[in-house]
Formats: sequence, C-alpha cells, structure tokens
Amino acid sequence: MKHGNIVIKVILVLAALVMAILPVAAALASETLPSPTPASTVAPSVQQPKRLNNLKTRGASEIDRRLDQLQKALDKVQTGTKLPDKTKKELVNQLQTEVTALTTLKSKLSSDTDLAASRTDVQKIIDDYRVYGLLLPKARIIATTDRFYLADEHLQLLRASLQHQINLAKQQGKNVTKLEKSQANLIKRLASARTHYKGLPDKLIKLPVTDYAASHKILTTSAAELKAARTDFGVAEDEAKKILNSLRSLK
Amino acid sequence: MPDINPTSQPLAPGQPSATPTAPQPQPPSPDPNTVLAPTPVSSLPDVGEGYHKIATAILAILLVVAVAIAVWQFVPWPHADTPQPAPSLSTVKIETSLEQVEAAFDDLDANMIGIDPALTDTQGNLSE
Repeated sequence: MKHGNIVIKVILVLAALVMAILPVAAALASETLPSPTPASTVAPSVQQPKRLNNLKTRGASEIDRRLDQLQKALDKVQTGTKLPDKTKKELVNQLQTEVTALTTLKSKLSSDTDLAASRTDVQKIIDDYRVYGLLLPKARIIATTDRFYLADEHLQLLRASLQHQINLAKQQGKNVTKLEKSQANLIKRLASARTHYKGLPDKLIKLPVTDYAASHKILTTSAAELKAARTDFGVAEDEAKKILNSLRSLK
Repeated sequence: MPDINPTSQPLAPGQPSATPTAPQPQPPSPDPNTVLAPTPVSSLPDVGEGYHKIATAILAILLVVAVAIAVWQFVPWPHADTPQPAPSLSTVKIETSLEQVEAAFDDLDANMIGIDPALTDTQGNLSE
C-alpha cells in the first residue's frame, strides 16, 4: 500500500512537470525554428531569357547531331555501287529533304523570342523528325545491303576458285570428299544469306513515317535479317578457309 | 747533137715547155642526128645473174617452209596420244580471293554499325 502510494505520487509529479515544460518548449521552438524561405525576389522577366537561351542552345545542339548523322548516312548511300539507281536516288532525296527541313527548323528556333514558341519548335525535333527511330536506320540498312551484294560477288569468285582446285585434286586421284562437303556447305550458306538481305531496299524505301510503331518494327526485323546474313557469310568464309588448308596439305 | 736553139734553157720543174707541141688529134664532135651503135652485150656488167641467184634462193626458202608446214600439219607425231600431265594444285588465286573477301567484310561490318533503330527519338537533354 505504501509502495503504491509512492508510485502514484511519482507519476503525478512527472505529469505536472510535463505539463509545465510543454508550453515553455513550444515557446522556445517558435523562436528558434528557421522561418520558411520567402518567395524569390528575382523577377520572372529576368529568369525567362535564361531559360529561353538554354532551350535554344540545347535544341540547336540536338539538330546539329542529327544533321551530322544524316550527312554521314548520305555519304554511305552515295558511295554504294550495287543499289539500283532509282532506289539510290530516292533515298538520297529523302535524306536531303530531311536535312533541309531540320536546317530550317534550326533557323526558326534561333529566331524564337518567347519560351512557348521555342518549346514547340524543340518538341518538333523529336515528333516531326524521326531521325534516330526511322530515317537513319533505314538509310543505314539500305546502304549496308549494297555492301552485302558486293561481298557476295567476292565470295562467288572465291567459290569458283575453290571448285577449280577441288576438281584438279580429284583428277589427280586425291580424296576430296571432305573438300566437297565443305564446298557444299559454303554454297548453302551463301544462298541462305541472300534470302536475308535480298529485297530489303525495295521493302524499306517506301517505309511510312506516319505509323511510327509499325515502321519501327519493320526496321528492327530488317536489322535482324542483316545480322543473320552476316552470320551466314562468316560461316561461308570459315568453310573456304578449311578447304584452302586441306588443299595446301594435298599439294 | 747540139741544141738547135742555143738560147734554150733547161726547164725548171713545172715550167711549161717553150717549144710548141704538135696539136693532138681532136675527137670527132658527136652529131646529135647520129644513132649510136649499141654497145656489145659482152662488154656490159652481168646484173641479171645476181637477181637470178636471189630469186632462186627465195624460192628455195619458201619451198622448205612449205614442206615443213605440210609435215607439221599432216604427219602424226608419235607423242600426240600421250596424255598431258594434269596441272599442279595452286592456292594462289584462292588466297587472293580470300583477301578480297576479308576486305569486303571489313567494309560491311563498318556499315552495320547503327542499323538498329533507336527505341525513341529522344536523345540528349532537352530541358530548359
């Protein structure tokens, strides 16, 4: 009983102390907490030119990057030797049209005087000119197809030289079973590669830019076709090297 | 016998003789209307015989050449039916073709960079 009375008394004392301290603490806190930062005192008319300049600078930089890549793609297409003239001419025309339009946009952006107009123009770089998503990969795939045709010509000459030597070795009574098997595999791989890259320029030259998702998918598939063709070429080259090494050992 | 002309002096070398000499008989001047008698054949140089020899030599050479050609064309040679040895294997042309293929592949691989289309066209920082 005596113990319980002491506990009650302690609790009461503590409660009283808390009740006494709380208001004081509150008073102290209100005096020492930092006051919220007042609103900026810099006028909006000073901030806006800075933002406008930033946007114009970044926009011009993005346009320059695209123009640089488009010019490189244009050079690749123009140095091609195996594309049909009609396809080459049309692709060059598309690239040059894009370059002209972006150059005009850059000029307009640099002359914009308000933030809203510059925002609109900068957005156009992405929305109206699908350079990285559509036009550049299209031009690169078509230019690369031209190089595939050229590589195929060299591979055909190699195949003919190999066949000639295999026939000679056979006439000399040498065992050419493995050589003929490798040669057959080489021919099969060249035919397979051709099915991947042949027809791509015709398929892509009229690719619409209006349906971004569908065109993007076609380009992704076409890029995969070229990679498969390159793999076939690589295997054909390995077979050619095997035949060459065998012929050297037969001499 | 004493000299008839006592005043004559011995001639110096080269000095023409003072004594007039008797005129030499002049050859008759040719008459343009006179036809000269033909020179006898036996006194002409023998030009025809030289040409005759050359012509004979040429004919002989041609005859020999013709016979040789006829023999080459029509006489079967003993080695005609002997099988020719097969040419030896050579990998030089293959090696050259392979080098050209590898160069074409280098160009092809360089062009394949960037054929994958970007997911979006937003690249770079376009913030204000």
